[in-house]
Amino acid sequence: MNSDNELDKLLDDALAEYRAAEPLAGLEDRVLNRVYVESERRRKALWRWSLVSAAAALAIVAWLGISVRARREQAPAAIAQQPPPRSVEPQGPPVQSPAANHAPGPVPAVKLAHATRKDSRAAATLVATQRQPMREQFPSPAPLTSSERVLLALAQTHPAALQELPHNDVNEEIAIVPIEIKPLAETTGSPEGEN
Amino acid sequence: MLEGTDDWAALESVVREHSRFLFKVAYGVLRNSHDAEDVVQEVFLRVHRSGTKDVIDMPAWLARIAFRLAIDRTRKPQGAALDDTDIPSAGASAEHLAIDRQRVNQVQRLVAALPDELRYPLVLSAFEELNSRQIAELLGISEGSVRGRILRARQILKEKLSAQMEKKP
Repeated sequence: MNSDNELDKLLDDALAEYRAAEPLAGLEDRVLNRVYVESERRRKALWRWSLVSAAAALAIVAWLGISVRARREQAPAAIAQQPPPRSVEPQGPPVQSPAANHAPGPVPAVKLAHATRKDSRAAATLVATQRQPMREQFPSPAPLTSSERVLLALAQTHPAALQELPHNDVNEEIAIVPIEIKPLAETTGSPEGEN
Repeated sequence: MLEGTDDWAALESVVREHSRFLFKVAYGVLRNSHDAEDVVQEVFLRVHRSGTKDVIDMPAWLARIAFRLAIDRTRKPQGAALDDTDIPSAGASAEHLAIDRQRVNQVQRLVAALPDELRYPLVLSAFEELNSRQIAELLGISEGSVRGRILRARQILKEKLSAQMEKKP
């Protein structure tokens, strides 16, 4: 038993070493210092990330703004550079396919504005290649119609005939002849017809 | 995360109150002062991040974190061998000086050689700050198991010590 008590005491003493373990002086200060340093580091990292994120967001917004503005500026320029629609001499009523009714002649400006960047670039290139010299007269003289050509031929061959042609003066007052309604003549027919 | 002056004051209070106890818990597992101190610092870094709002039993909660961190450290290859461990600067009383230093070291080697499921309850039972219920919660076992494992560990140590004493009279 004495040996058993001795062993118990020895064990307790050995375990007391665990209990008596002491850190180097200033453990609390070192812990607090490390926590402070770590929290500062994390805070700085958070700020850095926030700044980087904000800068990236600003850059994206600026880039989007610039690209949208460039598209808006490109669309009117493309319209201005479009060649004027060529006048076609009327040769009877034009026969149009149903598809043609839905897609009128020149490329509309709205379509250009809504085109993708690639498309707008291609359109601008196409317009630049089709650019024509500036016209001396505005509006551009259109070819004469058939009736105008007939009138011109008449004026060259018979100038006097032009004088005889009635010309409508817009400012001349229109004389309206009063309408006279005569009473109906009495007929000798049977009265049944009136019924 | 703890922020502001009040929170910092609260954290400082917790650090000053419990860091030595946590050092002992970590030291009981690691048997190395530097590693134990690292564990204590890591515990309070976690406390700083998570806060202590919903904590009911602060010493037990902190001891659980320290114990788990220390266990994680022992699983890493950098864990110090028993022979490399340092002896803490214990308060050297006259009683301690009277004990045969060699025998104490011998017992500690035997404790360190115990399987973990016996060693941890035994070592944790050495701390007055932890009762058997808290140790049971910390280890995730029942209170009865804690007592049983402590008794079994002591029995094994006694047998080994007596066997060694018989060999070296």
